[in-house]
Amino acid sequence: MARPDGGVQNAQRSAGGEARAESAERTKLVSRYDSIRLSHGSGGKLTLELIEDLFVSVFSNEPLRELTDAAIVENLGGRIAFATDSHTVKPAFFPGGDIGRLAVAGTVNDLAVMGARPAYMTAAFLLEEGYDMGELERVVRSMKATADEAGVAIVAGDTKVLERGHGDGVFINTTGIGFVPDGVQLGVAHVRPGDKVLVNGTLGDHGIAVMSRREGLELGVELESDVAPLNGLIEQILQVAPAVRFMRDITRGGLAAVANEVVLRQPYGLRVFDVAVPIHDVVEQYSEMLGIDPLLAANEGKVLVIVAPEQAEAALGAMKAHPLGREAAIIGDIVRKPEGVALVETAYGTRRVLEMPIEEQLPRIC
Amino acid sequence: MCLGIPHEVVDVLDQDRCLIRLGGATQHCFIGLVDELKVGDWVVVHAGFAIDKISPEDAKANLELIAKYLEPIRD
Amino acid sequence: MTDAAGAVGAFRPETYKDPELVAQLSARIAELAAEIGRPVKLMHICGTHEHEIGRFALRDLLPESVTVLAGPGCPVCVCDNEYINMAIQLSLTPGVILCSFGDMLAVPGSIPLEGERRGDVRMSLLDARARGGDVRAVYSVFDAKRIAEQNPDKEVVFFSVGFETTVVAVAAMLKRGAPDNLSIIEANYYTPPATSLLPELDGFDIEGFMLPGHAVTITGLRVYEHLAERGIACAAGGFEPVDVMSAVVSLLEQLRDGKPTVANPYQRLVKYDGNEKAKRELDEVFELAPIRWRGIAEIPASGYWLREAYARYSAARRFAGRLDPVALRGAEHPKGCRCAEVTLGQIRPDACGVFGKLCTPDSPYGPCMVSHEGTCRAWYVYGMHKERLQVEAA
Repeated sequence: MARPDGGVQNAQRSAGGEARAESAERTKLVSRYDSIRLSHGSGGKLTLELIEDLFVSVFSNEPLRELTDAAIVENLGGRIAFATDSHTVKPAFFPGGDIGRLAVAGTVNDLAVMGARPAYMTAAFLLEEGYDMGELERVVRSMKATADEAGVAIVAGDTKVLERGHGDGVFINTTGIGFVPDGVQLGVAHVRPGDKVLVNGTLGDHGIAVMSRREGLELGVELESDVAPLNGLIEQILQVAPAVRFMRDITRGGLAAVANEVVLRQPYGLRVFDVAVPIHDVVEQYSEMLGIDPLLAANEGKVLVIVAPEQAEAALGAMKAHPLGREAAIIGDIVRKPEGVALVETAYGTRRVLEMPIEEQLPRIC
Repeated sequence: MCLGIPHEVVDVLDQDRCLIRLGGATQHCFIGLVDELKVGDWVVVHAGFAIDKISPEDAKANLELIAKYLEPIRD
Repeated sequence: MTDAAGAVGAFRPETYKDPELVAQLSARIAELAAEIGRPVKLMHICGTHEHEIGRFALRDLLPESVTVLAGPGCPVCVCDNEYINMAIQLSLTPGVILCSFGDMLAVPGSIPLEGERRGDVRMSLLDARARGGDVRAVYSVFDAKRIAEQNPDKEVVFFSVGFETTVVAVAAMLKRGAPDNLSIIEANYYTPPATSLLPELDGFDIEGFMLPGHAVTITGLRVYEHLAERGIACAAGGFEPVDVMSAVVSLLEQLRDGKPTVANPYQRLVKYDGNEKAKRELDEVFELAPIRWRGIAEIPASGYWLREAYARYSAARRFAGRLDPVALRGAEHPKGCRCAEVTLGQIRPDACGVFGKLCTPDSPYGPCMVSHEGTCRAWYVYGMHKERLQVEAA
């Protein structure tokens, strides 16, 4: 299957940061305006300048450069996977990532967990009047770097400007198209008792990192978010372990949300072994303090993989061999009973239900 | 009501402040309520301050107490 | 016993999480229960204990005949409406920044909420924030102090909720000099008098109390002697699984021997007379006087009030002219909410008609479900109301 528009399959997590640091030359646009004006969204001269000098200049690919109403791209064969997401993370820049990287990686991962090769993306921006142009450029460059890492091209987009006070800095919507090879069939219907449950690394990093920053907690250690495109990792897994039944990226709601989604109305349960779940010491400690269970905390850059038992070790090996899976682990299995339930087996041999998480997690009293 | 996590004292800055560490993370801690702290002591920290310290003697006594609980019943 | 601690005397937190020790203590508990030969009801009075128990399903390690009930251990749940209403009013007052622990933000007081049609929901600080109130979540009282220093032109009010362990920080902070623009809503509660109330209740059949390990680190164990004098066993409970199980062992031993006392299985931290320095500072800044426990009663000597020398930091005093007294009133939970009975350990959370239906963690109806220390929330989150899980692997 062909690769889209010359992207570099670069799996290094910090590629985004390096790219940003390296681009000492600002785009022409940033040198001219220090913030977004209403007329940047009105469809006239300033809009064209914004598109050409920032988006086209940075995203830099053929379909986009032509500035047509729609991008015409090559059909790379197989079934089409199609995903969309909108992003409004605060703060927009956090240790380990930013809203741009999150947006691209999020959509890439949505496609990849379906067994698709992500190929093309769109990016639509809702910018608040007054939003800092320099920050916008950093976001856009981060998106490009992440797209390059994933080997996708951002081929179409849109920009609107909201009046000051009617937006929240920047909102980004992304859509993505990927191509699923024949024979790849993933879904909860394929999951069966005995299957093993794996994750590609430590859980809770993103949620605790963002929460602790937001709460202004003075932590001796900067917790980094783990936001990253996982399609490279997932490709490796599927190569050595084609009997993967189901994958889902673990985002808001953490492992608990995904686990419950998997078992909902199904004739099987999902058991997690507490001692097997990889969690950074620091995340463990600070989640205690913040009153947030790491199994419920948000993640980026983490995927849950359910695979046939005879291929579990191979899948684990493939993950560990990849930079984004060094701390991968088999954390549980699919059980016959209780049906429709996600549960935790504790270090003490006892069991408790792993409930679907509640929304807003606020830091506790003590 | 009482979440408190033990941390090791790694530096005593003054009467009221010290640096504590647990695992990889170091942070400041208010120690105004605990006397005579030295590096290597452990303190239990609740909402940013130390409520008391765990001395080696008390730690030892706690372990001995548990050992006593686990002695078989003697009739 | 195997030296799970490594070097003698060296403290390692992991020791108290050790599954081997927990298993051994569980076996010991079964032996003691068999010796005692009758059902025994124990009670803890700390939301954090209920959380540990739920998180590790520790009740499953106890024999059928030993029950551990959750008693009044949630300062958010007993915080009277009046203080919530005061916080809401102050947050909506121009020029005031209201700082509060996260848990308190979602607890409803008794100020009606326009437009709300679900049951009898009243205003919370989150609702005040949505209506333009300057409400900030803080992690500790020191954060509030920092906010006051950073905003000298504003009045900063700290909603001081919590039991013994939490209030000492407030005393320490005030004693060391607080900015003039800082004040506190006094809503700190002192637990021991509430434990005098419990045995007076109908149907009280608790034979032993697991005492809150960190609260007694401050106050000491002497303040619970009144319970032992009434024939009720007491043991200080730490919060790791080994500590919880040790406390149960201690209580059962006392019952087996018929010698109720106030024992200290949490020896590494708790001293019989507590933390003298903390007690002194606390006593310098606060005095004990009656306070109303939400939905329960006014209990003598159970509320921390600022002494005259520090009374200028009392928000109630500072804003006396500016608060609407009628809107402050209220002592109950929302209609249909049985948080008071749950708090007293009289009913299980799932005996409440709204538990899990009208009242869930993502749309909580009463404080017991809002607060991380609330029994209802712990039960819901850890599924303690459900049948014990039987796993059948492939």
